[in-house]
Amino acid sequence: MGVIKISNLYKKNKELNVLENISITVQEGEFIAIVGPSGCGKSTLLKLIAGFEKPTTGDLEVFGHSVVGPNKQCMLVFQEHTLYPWRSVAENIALGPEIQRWAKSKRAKKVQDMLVAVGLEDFADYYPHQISGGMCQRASLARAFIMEPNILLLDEPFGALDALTRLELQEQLLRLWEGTKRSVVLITHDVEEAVFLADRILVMGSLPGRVIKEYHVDLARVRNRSGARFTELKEEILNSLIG
Amino acid sequence: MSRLFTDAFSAKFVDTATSSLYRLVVGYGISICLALVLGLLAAPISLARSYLRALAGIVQSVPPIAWTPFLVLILGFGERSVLTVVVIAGLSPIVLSILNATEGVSLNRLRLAQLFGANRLQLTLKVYVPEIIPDLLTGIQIGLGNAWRSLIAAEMVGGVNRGLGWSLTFSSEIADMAGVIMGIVVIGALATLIDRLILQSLSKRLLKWREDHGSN
Ligand SMILES: Nc1ncnc2c1ncn2[C@@H]1O[C@H](COP(=O)(O)OP(=O)(O)OP(=O)(O)O)[C@@H](O)[C@H]1O
Ligand SMILES: [Mg+2]
Repeated sequence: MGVIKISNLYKKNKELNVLENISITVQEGEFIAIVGPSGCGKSTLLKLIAGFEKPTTGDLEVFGHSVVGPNKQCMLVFQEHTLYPWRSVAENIALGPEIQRWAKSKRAKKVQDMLVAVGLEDFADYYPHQISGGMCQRASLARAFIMEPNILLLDEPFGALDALTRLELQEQLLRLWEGTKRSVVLITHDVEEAVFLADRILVMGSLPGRVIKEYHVDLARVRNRSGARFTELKEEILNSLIG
Repeated sequence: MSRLFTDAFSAKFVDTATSSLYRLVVGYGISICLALVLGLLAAPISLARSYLRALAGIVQSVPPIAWTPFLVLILGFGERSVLTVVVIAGLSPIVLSILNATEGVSLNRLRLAQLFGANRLQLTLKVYVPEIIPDLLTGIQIGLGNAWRSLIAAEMVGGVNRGLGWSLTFSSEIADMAGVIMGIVVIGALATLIDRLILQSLSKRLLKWREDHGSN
């Protein structure tokens, strides 16, 4: 039983075939990474799962129900910066709880917990333009995680970060995910990141966007980035991306 | 010259200025409320937005003072006609600023709130309102200028017997040059003061989040 079930999905944008014959099943608690060239429809796929766009043909189910619109079970962290500039970091993280009308005390406590979890406790009262890009991405993650969604859709959450911050955030993400039964679909351009984090990696090709290859990462976590199997897998995936 | 100052603080002149300010507050207050209600109701619906935009465009292309003959016919000379001119004059810039800002709202920020399950009211309060505040403040500043200029003009022709516009006409009729000049100076000064003291400090407070870190 998959929590996300996509079968024979096609997506057209005007005349352009953005996605062609996509079939993916994501299991409960599974961490999936999707890699693929720019413009192959990765973001479109996540927006479809999140319910912001509709498939042209094909089936798309989340928890056994056909997706008809945005769904609280499915949190999407957008590729683009979407923090609200008029809210401080803490207020941004509190957005979901506010909309869901959590009790004030619970809200304050959870926000504080999330701030600590992503290492932003000293920046709670800063506005987004006053913090760095990496901090913004951490705040965006926290804003999604606080809702404890069953499915997390992450669209290049660590894009445009320096290598060190990236590694740090990958481990932070792993800590937030491990031990929960949440499923994650992560889009990334960084093959190493995919191998480090995911249970399964889908490689997409472009024009039209389709899944061309699938890899299972059978390595215990926390993974050793310089281990033999790790580097071998990384090479293999890189080659499939080029080829 | 010295007469300018003694006169400016005479009880009669203070009364003249206060009655204009009073009309501005009432008339423009109604403008703001009406524009907010219309703009925010139309904001989420694209058809309603285009109707309202067309309407505001039409209203804006007629000089507010040109409504006076029509208003005088249905409301009679006096207070009500003058106030209505002010309301009409202030309305369009605010409505248009709300509409423009609404169309510039970030789709992803909107979608994000929907992801959290926001209903229409929450979308309005948590996304649309903060998104439009910067443009709205500009609209309110422009509307204020419109409303004030039209108020003075309407006081000159609308059949009231108090107010700066009326006093200007009256001074001219009795060939009181000092009175005319003082009227013009006070009209300019008051509008500038309102903009500086009220609107600019308001936007400073509401747009606090835009200030650069460490700038003060
Ligand atoms: N709103 C839109 N209207 C029309 N075409 C779009 C729209 N959004 C995306 N597309 C098209 O759909 C295709 C896939 O876009 P998408 O953003 O999903 O790519 P991506 O794989 O996420 O790329 P990147 O890695 O650069 O983020 C592109 O060819 C793009 O031109
Ligand atoms: Mg993308």
